[in-house]
Amino acid sequence: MSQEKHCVPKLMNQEDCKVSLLDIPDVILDCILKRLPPLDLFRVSQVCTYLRNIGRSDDLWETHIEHKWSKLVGNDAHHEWQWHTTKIINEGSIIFLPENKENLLLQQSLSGSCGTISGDSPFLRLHSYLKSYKGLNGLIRNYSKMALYICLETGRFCFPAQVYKATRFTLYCYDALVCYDSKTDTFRARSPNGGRHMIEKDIHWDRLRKPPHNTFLVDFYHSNCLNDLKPGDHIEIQKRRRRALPYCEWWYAVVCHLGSCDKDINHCSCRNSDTLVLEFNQYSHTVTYSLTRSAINSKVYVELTCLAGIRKLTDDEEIIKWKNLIFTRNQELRLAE
Amino acid sequence: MAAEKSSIKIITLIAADGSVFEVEPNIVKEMKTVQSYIDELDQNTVSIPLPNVFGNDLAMIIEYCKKHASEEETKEAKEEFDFEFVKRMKSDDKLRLLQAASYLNMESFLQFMAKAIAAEIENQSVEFVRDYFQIESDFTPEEEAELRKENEWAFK
Repeated sequence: MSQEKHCVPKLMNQEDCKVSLLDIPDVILDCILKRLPPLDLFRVSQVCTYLRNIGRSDDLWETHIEHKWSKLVGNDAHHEWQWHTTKIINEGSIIFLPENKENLLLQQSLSGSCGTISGDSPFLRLHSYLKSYKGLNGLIRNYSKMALYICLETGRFCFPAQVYKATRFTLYCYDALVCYDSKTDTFRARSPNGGRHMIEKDIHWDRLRKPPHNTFLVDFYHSNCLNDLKPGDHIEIQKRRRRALPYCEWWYAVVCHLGSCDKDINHCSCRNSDTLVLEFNQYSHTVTYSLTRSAINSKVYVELTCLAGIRKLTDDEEIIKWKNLIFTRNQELRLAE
Repeated sequence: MAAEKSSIKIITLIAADGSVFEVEPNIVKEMKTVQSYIDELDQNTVSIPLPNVFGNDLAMIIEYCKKHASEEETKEAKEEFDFEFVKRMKSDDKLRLLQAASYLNMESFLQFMAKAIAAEIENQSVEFVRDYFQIESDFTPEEEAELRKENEWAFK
């Protein structure tokens, strides 16, 4: 037993022992800071340089982002944020020069910095934008996670998300750039086509989702589930708003039996048929569509039907979400009648 | 060795100001610093000096440990106790107890104090926090100006 371990200078008077921040080990200070809400953590980081350096650490702010934003801010949004931060770090104060006329139009229609752009002219689409300026750029460079939290919280970062929409005859999810309004705790959605047009405001959290993998602003979603689809499967299918426009929305449908099938599991062969019957839900009834599996991937077929890629829903939560939307819509419509 | 250890009935803790506390072994289980001391000793009675903890603070810590080690107390009663416990502490007490908890290596009491201190600096001004932690601003005038500007836009 080493006695040294316990031989620390004896404290004589309790009043002499005013504890300063510098007496508190980092690990313990961390325990305190972890428990502070974002605004307080921000304030504490203005106390002194020591607290600034630990109070603005990525670890602490990552937790706040995770807590408030992880259900909405997914890979697409993080990828965009990365794009903005890289641009700010690399280019400093150099203004991003647009490559062509369309880009210029996109740039001019917004007051901030544009995110990545996809699609062919004239159907260019913007994946995000950031209302940024000098002061904020400094934060982004030095304290990226805290900056991300602030930009999300204050609506400066317009990020990729999908908005559920349910009306009497339609039920779908559309791609949008959304920004948050902390005063009302709602979102505003803008069109990715130029970003100028506001589509909707006062959107609540439960009407938004983070885009599933490879579903945001894609003209055609390539799936490998097409030949496995069987009656009872829940799917989302891309539907074009108008012919000749590449913009798609995700519509919810259920795979059902062919008209000729007696719906008996023992001899149902719908799964092997080239015809795929989808049932779309409307308020008072359902609508069925017959598709030809082998033709879905063809361009002409897409032009003709306005329907494109199919994504099979395997996550129960996604299915429940659609069912809840249907339920809420039907209830509201019934009350309105 | 194991038999001998279990035969320890009473542990004597001696605080910085010389005050003496006699406690049962289950009370110090949470105090890892004390526990490791006991584990290394080969005696029936143990007396441990704690030159970093004051009598008043140690009394409070023991009170807390007794309440939480008790199997008869309900969860609600413990929560009620925690609430009152924090209420009667002054700001200085909290920081000293946090330090004591760190020295004694008491994980759950440490978290408990961290929570109490966080609650105290919540919704307070920068000046309050400086005063609370006995710390002065070491920002350059330029940095101060930048921070003031930051306040104007950051969360607005």
